[in-house]
Amino acid sequence: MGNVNLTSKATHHSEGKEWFSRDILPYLPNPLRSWLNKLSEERLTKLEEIRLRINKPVLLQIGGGNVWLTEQGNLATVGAGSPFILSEELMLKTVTLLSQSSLYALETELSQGYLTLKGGHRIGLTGEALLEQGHIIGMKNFASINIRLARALPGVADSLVPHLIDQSHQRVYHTLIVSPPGAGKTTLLRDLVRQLSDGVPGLWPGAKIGLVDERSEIAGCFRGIPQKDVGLQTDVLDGCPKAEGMMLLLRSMSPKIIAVDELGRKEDIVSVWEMLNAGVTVVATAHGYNLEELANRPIMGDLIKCNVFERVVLLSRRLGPGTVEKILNISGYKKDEDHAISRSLTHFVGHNGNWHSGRSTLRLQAKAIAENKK
Amino acid sequence: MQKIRNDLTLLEMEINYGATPFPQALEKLAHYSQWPVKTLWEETKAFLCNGEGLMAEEAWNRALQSFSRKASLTVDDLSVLKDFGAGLGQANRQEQLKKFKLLQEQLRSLQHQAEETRTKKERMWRTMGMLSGIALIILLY
Repeated sequence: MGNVNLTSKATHHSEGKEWFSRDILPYLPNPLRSWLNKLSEERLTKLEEIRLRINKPVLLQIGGGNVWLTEQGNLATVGAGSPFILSEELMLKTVTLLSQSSLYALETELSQGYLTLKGGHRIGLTGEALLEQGHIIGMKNFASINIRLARALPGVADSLVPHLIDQSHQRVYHTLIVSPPGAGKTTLLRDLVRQLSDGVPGLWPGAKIGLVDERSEIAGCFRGIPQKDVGLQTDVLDGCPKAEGMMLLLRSMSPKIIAVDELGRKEDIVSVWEMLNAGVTVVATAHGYNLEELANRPIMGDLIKCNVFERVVLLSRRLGPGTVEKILNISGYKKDEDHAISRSLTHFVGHNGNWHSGRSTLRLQAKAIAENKK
Repeated sequence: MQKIRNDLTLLEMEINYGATPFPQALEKLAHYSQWPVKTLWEETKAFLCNGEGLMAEEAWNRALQSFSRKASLTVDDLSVLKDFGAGLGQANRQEQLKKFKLLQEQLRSLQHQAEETRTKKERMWRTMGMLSGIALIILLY
């Protein structure tokens, strides 16, 4: 396993204040709206989250640290001055504005606990869950809102792209971006998808990409239309479970690359194998701090141990979100991989109802993968 | 009032079957509706989307104010329509549909009352007309 040490920091491009006035402020009631309208451009560039909680101060996460709004509407370090306390009425008004007075139209989104605004910004909501037969079917009496700002940072993947392309075979390596929460893996994946889709002069001609955006965070779709630039040749499947989405895109859009965010469920892994089987490159992200930690997890560990991913990019927040700690160059399949893959596949399909049929099918797939790689 | 009731049935269908967001549903309604009810939908949407950050209830009340001047609404009509606006768009689909049912019942009742009053007044004016005619003939002779 050869390592390419590289440390770079994602550049936060100055985008002005227009995006904030257009995408966020109309959904906030006064006085929050007028107070946040006064935020300087510099602060807005670093603003990551706005957190509203009933009977609690309004917190803003700026550049990794928290500040709160004071009673006068200024920003102050948490603990300094008297904070503005969010009333129940203001929370109700915020929810109503965020839903465009159409909570009835957002039942699916609310059952998942989030909705996406135009511009791709993610609104997380918690409150009283409505259940039906043990499943969440909606939410009411909202108590907390997290406005997570999504901004495209075109160019953050610039230094990364050359390490992910196999020039001799004109293909992209199977790549996994590993990062702790809030370290910029989705932002990096978005720019990576854009560059791999559009092409990089002298390096990569561009390719058809299928993007499964289960949580609407990568392309930031609003009513199915991507709000972020994810490339000319990218087909986005919005709000679809990753496992099913990958299979659907494979069948319907003939992609050369499939990109997904936050792999980790049992069924996701089976779909990744299907992609490999079909000769499609997988570019994915996963939560984690390092490769060793990931390798010890029950599901992701199987993929890591089988060396499915040829490049693993490790991110951190050491120098701010998007710090690339390492790009690991992982060698290809070993000769005894057939056995290893079969064992691995039976491990993660072994406990569901279709164990027998699943095992035989997947063994065949595993053999095919091994033969392709020889 | 009959026109409002017909339009509200369309709005209810948009919400129930289409899960159409309120501003878009109002736009569709305005497209199919006729004056003066059309202006109620147009103005509600305009207030909702003017960037002032009004909730549906506030936008509805503002639009109702100007609508009541154009249409011959009684105090009771206005009161029922205002009640409908309370909490508009803040509930899930089932709760929203209950509000529609309640409003339709109230409007039907008001319409029935209005028709009864009209019939009574018609009869009264007809009788008064006949009596006035007879009185005029008696005076002439």
